[in-house]
Amino acid sequence: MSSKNNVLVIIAIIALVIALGNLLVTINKAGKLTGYAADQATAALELAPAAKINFVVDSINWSSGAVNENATSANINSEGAVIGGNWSTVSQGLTLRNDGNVDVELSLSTSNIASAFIGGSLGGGPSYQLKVSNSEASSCLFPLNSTNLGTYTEANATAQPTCKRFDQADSSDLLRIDVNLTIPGDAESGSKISTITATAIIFTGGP
Amino acid sequence: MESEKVVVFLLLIVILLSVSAIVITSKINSDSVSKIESQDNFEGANYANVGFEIAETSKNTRGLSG
Repeated sequence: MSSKNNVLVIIAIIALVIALGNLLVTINKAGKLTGYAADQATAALELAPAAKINFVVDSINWSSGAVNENATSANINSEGAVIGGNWSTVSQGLTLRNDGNVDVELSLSTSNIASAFIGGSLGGGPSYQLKVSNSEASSCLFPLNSTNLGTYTEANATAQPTCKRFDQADSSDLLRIDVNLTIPGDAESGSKISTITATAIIFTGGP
Repeated sequence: MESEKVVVFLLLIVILLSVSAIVITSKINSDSVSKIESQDNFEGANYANVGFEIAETSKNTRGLSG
């Protein structure tokens, strides 16, 4: 046998081995994808827990206004009150929905506090308060305490626990967040904006 | 002599194609695993804005001009 024929034989053997390996790998993968006939089968699916919250109403704006000339401060809130000023009436609170597949612990934080957000000092100074309540019954299954829901609490720019167990069921997964502001008559003019951040972590158990 | 060269050329193509098939199959398999693993989501956050504007009045502009 000539040396050239030997080269041919070696190359042919290598090709055969690689092709055989490829065939086995392909058969293995194809078998996993398509399966084969069997008289019983079981389909199993594990749904990973996913915490997801979403502000379905994500903005409140009272537009432009001023404290009345004869008042030291004004009070406005998202429940329709405009007292001592002429801002636009707002009767819609922020609305937060649990869009995940698990119950969650909810915290709220604000980007600033009353003095930075509103300013001024007349009439007892500024105030920036939030109130959480059930928009759908029993959305907050475990409140922090007996007065947690439905009570205005001063925002302090840190994450404040709001609801220990925010339900994920479609019929009870909606919370309303109302905002109450006290605006001193000497608060500086201009546009005022604050961002509210809602944070959720998966509820792990216990009231 | 010419036929031997043709055979060698064809065999080399077979080897190249076989190696490519194995590499591609392995790559598809590893990509599928990483996509499934990246779907976990354990935390949510969302944002809302509260705003209004204070118009200029004699009260809140007093002292600013001078």
